[in-house]
Amino acid sequence: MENVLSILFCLSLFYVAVTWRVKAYVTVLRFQGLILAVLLMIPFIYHFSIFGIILPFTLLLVKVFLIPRYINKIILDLDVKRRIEPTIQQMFFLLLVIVSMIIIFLVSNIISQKTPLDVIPFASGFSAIIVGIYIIMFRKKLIIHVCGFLILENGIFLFSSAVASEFPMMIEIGILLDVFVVVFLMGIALNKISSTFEGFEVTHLGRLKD
Amino acid sequence: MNHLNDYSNILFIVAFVIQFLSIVFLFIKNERKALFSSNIVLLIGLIIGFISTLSTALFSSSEVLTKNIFNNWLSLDALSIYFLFIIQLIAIPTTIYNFSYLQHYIEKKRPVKSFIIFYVILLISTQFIVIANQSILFLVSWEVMSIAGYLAMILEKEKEEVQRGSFYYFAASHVLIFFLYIMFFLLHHQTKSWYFSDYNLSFSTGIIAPLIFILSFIGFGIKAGFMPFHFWLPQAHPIAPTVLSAFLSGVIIKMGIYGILRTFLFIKPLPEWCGWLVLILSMVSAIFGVWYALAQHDIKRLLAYHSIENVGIIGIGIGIGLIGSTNNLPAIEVLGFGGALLHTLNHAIFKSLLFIGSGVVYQNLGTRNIELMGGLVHRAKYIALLFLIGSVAISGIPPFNGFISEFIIYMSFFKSANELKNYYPILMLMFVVGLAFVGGLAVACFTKVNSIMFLGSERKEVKHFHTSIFDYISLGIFALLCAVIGFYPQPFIGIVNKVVQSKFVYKTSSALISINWLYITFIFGTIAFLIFILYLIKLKLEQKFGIRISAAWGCGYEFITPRMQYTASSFADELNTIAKPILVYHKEVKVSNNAFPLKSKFESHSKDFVDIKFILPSFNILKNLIKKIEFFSQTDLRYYIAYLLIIITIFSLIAFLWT
Amino acid sequence: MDIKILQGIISLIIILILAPLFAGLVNKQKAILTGRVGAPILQPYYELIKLIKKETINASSSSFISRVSPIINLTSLIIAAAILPVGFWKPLISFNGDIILFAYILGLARFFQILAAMDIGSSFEGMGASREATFALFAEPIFFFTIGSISFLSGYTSIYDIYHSIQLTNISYEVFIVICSISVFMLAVTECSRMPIDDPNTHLELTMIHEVMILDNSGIDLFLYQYSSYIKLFIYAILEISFFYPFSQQSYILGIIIFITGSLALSFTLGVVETITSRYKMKNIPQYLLFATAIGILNLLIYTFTK
Repeated sequence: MENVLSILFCLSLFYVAVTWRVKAYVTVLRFQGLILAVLLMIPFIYHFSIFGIILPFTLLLVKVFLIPRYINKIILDLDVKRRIEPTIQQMFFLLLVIVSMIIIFLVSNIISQKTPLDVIPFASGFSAIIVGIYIIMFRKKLIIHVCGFLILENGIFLFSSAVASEFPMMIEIGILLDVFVVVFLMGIALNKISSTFEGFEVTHLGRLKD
Repeated sequence: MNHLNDYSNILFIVAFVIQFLSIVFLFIKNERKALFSSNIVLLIGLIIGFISTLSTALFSSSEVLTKNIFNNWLSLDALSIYFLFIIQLIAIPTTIYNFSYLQHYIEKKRPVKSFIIFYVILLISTQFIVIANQSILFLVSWEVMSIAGYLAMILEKEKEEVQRGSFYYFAASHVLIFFLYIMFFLLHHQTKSWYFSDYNLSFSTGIIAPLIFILSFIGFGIKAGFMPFHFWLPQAHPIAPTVLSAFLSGVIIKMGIYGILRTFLFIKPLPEWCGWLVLILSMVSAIFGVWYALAQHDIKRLLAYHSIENVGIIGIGIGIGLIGSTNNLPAIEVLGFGGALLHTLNHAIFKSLLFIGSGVVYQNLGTRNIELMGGLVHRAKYIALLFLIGSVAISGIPPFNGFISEFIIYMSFFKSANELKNYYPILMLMFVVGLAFVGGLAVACFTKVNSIMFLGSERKEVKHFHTSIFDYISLGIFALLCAVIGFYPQPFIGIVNKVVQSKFVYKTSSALISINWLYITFIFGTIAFLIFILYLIKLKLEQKFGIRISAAWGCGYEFITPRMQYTASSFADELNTIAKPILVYHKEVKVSNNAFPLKSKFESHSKDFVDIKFILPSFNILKNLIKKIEFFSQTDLRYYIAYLLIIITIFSLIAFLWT
Repeated sequence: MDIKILQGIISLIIILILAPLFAGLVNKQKAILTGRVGAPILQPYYELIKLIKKETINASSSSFISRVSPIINLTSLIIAAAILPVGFWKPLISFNGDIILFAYILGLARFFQILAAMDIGSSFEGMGASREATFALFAEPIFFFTIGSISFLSGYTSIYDIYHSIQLTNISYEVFIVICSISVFMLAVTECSRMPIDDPNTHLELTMIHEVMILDNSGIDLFLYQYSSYIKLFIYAILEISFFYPFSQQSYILGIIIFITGSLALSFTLGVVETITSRYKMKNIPQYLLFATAIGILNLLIYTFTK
């Protein structure tokens, strides 16, 4: 079951790599949040416990409802152009993602022979981290950078669920806090910047230099 | 049997003597008669050589096939016989084409006689390379071949591109000979002998065997045209006269392949990384060779880049064979090396066919730029048909011979996924996909070439188009070979199997033979039969319901000119843009902005990446370095005598102090 | 031995006869989804028969290639259809390595179609030819990453053996096969020039890839081209349906039921996809194909590393 969810996770990463719309990033964030919530709920299907249901529930609330709604509000407020502008040709981006994914899967298979871990969630999480970094590197809009960072956080989450076996709670609560802080800061910063700047490209921020 | 052996020995010697004698005929006074007679004598010599090769091959079993003549200096084992067969098979129709091609140069008062002399020397030295058993003889014939090639290439030496191309060829040849020298000296150092038959190193560990392999791969690889050593090929092949281009691309490149295979026979068990290195470099050569070809609009340069691609495919076969030999799997070895050897033969045939076809076109139009051609099928229908057979064969499409050799290489990958476990299946699948990609690119490239050159209407007015019977004979022999190997590959598979079994594998394997070749022949026969039947039905229906010719749909535009057809650049544009940084592909457009459009200009170029980024800058660095020590070269003789005096003094001092 | 050849011939005849019916089904689904009544299901047959009775027209700048290419197209597609398994019967052509013959014989059809398009000497057909060459290039890897990966995993190289080795035993294999079929669906859409790659309904020059190449043909030529495209669509439909065929249970009734439901479901899906999506920009199509390849690669990676 975890494997199927990880496959869907990776497919959403491919979708992020090919899409031209900004709203699609938000949809993908929702989808990934849903998958992670279901993934967390799996061990508790048969023995129901209150503590086991709190965390997935909060996760669902935050990742599927609150954060995407917040980002949508920011997109609407700042009137961001709904189309992304990449720096390298789209096809090369997809090729890069595919090659990285292949290398990550091979490497994680080699590692799994030394330390016991589930290969597929591990590799999916790691590739989500890499794809998040690529999004930050290769896209120009700031709001896309935020989404890329959130995908990166999703990846760390999935990655740790494959590795950690005891007390996953602490890591996950820490990650949630992290996400909140980032989004709030970004929102505030973007609001303040928007009052002085018009466009939202990283290149424009270069004017702040000297 | 012994008599036959002696007879074929004598035939060999006679063949060489006759080929050499053809030079003598050049000194007849009447130029036309001189060339004609010397060509005929050369042809007779080649045919006699071919007959003797065939008789040696057919009438002796593979064990007896190792004969040593002339005191062990020459040896005819299975590999040599096979490559000798290829050389002579290609040389015969190419020399037949000589009859018609040289008329063109005689009319322009060129030094054709020197060309023929060097062509004959090139032929003879190439044949010596494959039968040499002694390293020094090998190296000497290699040098003679390179120099003869260079001297034959500079037929039109006042053109700047000829000077540049031939200089690239010459420089690359000498760099690679340097590597060969080092390799043969290493081999001599290991075994204390100069004879190939004594080179049977089996170092499974240690640095010597891989080092020798790397040296030979770089050296012979420069000759064969693997990327990234390929930069001289697209400069040298276009500028040579067509006969020489065909021979260069068809045969001389294969001498590099022969060298790699021969070195493999010396140092048989190789570590696995050698096979992977060959595989990866060949895959890169194959993919980017044909991608570069897609971006060219000079027909001969395009064909030169295609040779790089096919050498890549041969290298893929060799690579998988090497991996098979390391893992002791004779089935993979047989399939891999067998596919590579068969593809060597096939590529020689159809590349020579395409070069001679392009030579016929160049003779009549005077230009090699395909953007100025078009509509030639109405002038020379059969040349177009023969060129089409060559294009279909080179793209690896059934029912011709390209498909057969690519099929064998595909089967080697499928077999290796069966027998090797762990990560191999996934990696082998990547290579299969890469081969399919290369095939698709070749289809794109050759539909482009064929359609822009021959189909549609003429982009530039063609005044006359003469073809002579010799064009048809030479092209026809090649096309017939393509069709025969495609439709009935079994005898050729048998020959290749014999070569591979005798030399390359320790245990016999029936992997190559066990493929159902008769079935494939049957399917191809069915294809031909169905085409024939459907054509008859179509003719019948057209008779009944009518057929007429009308103008093509032009969207209502009145003044359609031939220049409005699709051009080669536009056909390949999308593919070229995808690989823009590697192909160094840029377009310049100058569009007039008036209401009534005046002349606009469009240019598209693709330069060679390795050439621009590495070779030319390193030459520039070298030039700048040499400028710094320029003050050493003076015009006055006395300075040189002073240098001599100084050097002699230094050496004698050293010699004095040493003893 | 004889009964096998008879079965092979019957399979081939079934494919050849039912091909236009499948295309008619797809058109009917599209019509129903857009609220029209649409043409009758047997319309492709009527059109083909009508085309035979028309006169052939060749363009003035065309040569023998225009006359020979439609025949080569149909021949290669007949041979390709003879390699496919219909139901449990062994196809007419089946030997070790016929997967490669299958891929390359479709390449033969494509080669001559592109040549025939450029033969006419007008830029419309040239545009279609250039696009066809580019997109077919990127579609080849998808074929090898889906059916080729099953071949590598099972060790067989004949299409009949490959499909027969699909035993839907454990769930990860089932997921693998499902995602393979999604990739093959995207391949089918590309190769048969359906939306979102190409629009088979409009005849505007800028939307077409396949339609524009056969623009200047009529009569028996057009019949051969249209029939070849119907057979091609049906071939890809069979490739798709055979993934879900119960090869392990040799019951004929179940097989026929699955075949019919599979074709109906596939034509419905194709109709839905064609109606909902709009055509992609030509520049984005290689990326779309790379996406399908990526799905195939991911599939293979996940399957091999779960073992």
